[in-house]
Amino acid sequence: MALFFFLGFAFPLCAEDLPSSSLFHFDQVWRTESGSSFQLKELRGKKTVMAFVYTRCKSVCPLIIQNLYKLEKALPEPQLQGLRFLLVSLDPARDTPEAIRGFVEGYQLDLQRWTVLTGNPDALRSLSAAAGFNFKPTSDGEFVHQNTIFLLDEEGQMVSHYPNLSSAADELTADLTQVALQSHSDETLLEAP
Amino acid sequence: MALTIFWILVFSGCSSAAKTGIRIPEGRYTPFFDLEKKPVEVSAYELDVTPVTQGNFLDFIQANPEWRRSAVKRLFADEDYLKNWRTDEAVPQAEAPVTYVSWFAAKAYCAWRGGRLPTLDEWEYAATARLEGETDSADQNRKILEWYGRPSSDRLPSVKGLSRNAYGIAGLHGVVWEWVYDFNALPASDGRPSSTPLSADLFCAGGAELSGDPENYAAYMRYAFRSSLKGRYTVKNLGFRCAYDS
Repeated sequence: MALFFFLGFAFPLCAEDLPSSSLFHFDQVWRTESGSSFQLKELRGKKTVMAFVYTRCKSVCPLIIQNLYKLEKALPEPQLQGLRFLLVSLDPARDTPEAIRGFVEGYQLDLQRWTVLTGNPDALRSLSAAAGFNFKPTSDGEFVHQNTIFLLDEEGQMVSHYPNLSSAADELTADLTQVALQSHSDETLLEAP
Repeated sequence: MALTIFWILVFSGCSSAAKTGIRIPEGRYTPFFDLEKKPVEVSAYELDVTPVTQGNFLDFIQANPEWRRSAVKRLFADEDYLKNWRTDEAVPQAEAPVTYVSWFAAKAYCAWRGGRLPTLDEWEYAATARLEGETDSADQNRKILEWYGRPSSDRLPSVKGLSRNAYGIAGLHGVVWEWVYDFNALPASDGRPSSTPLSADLFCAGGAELSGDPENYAAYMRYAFRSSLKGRYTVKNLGFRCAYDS
C-alpha cells in the first residue's frame, strides 16, 4: 500500500494516462517570455482559458485580453486558484521571447496565473487546426483571425468555446461558476452519510 | 562493398516511399477569397500526380501503427477515421483514393513520404489548369459544379484512370475533396485584420465583399467546405495528396 502511494506521488502521470482527445498529446516545444521551453502538458491539473493573439495587434487582441481581465476579476478566488490563462502567439516570426516579455510587462500579466507562448509555424498550425481556429497572415504583416476564446479542462480537453467577444467574459464566468457549484454539490453528496 | 549495398537496401526499405510528384512551375494566381484581392506568387514545387490511395495509406499504417484505426488518438482523428475499412488493415479499394482521413493523419503521411501537404495557394494554383477538352474556366467550373452536385458514391474510381490537367496532375476535381496544409487560413468573421480601427468591427457582409470572382461558385464551395473543418475531422469524400519542395 505504501509502495502504491509512493509510486503515485513519485512519478507524474504520463501521456498515456491522458484522455485520447487531450491537447496535451501535442509534443511540440513552445517558448515563454523568459525563453524557457514549454509543453502544453505542463498546464495539466488546472482549467485553462486559451486565446490566440499577437503582440503588435492593436484592436481586437486588446479586446480579447480585456475579456480575460474581466473574467479574472469576476471569478471568486477558489475558482481562480484552479485556472490558468493561456495566450498563444499567432506571429512566431516576430514574437520572440523578448517581444513576449514586453507584452507581458505592458499588460502587467501576473505570470503566476498567465502563460504566454510563442512557438513555430507548424506547432501553431497544428494547435489551431485542433481547436478549429482560423487565421491568415496578410502581406503587410498583420493577421486576419477569429476572436474565439477556448476553455480546456484539467486534462487538456476542449470543453467549450466562446466566439462572441461581447459576451465571452460573462459566459465564461457563468460556466466556470456553474462547474464549481456542480463540483461542490458532488463533493457534498459524496460526503453525505 | 557488398555490406554497404546491404545496409543501403536495409535503410531504404525502412524509410518512407519514394516521391511521386510532378513539378508545378512557379507562377501567379488570384485567390478566390482574400482580403487583399491581388495575385499571389506561388513558387515552383512538386505535387503528387494522383490522390493518395488506400493501398498507399495501408503501407503508412503498417509502418506507423499509431495511425491504425484502433490506435489513433481522438485528438488526431474523429470516430469515423477509416470507417470504410473493415478492420485496421482491410482496405476496401487499394487503388482508390483514401478518404475518412484527418488533416493530422494526412500531414503525418506526407511527412513520412518526405513531403508535406500542399498549401491552399499551391493546391488552388495547380487546380486552375484545365483538362483536355475544357474550353475555358467557365466550362471548367460548370463541370466541377456538376460533380459537386452529384451524391457521393461509396465506390470511388481507381486513380489510374483519371484524366490529367495541363500540368499532368490527375483528379484535382471530380474525385474527392482534398486537404491542404492551411485549410484554416481563411478570413474569419468580418474578414478585417485585427489591426484595423475599432470601427471595422461594425463591418458586415464580409464574405461577398472578399470574393475575387463572385461567379466562381465552385471555388466558393471549396472555401466554404474547408472553413467548416477541424484538423481531426474525417469525411466520406475528403482525401489528400502530398507536395514536395522543388
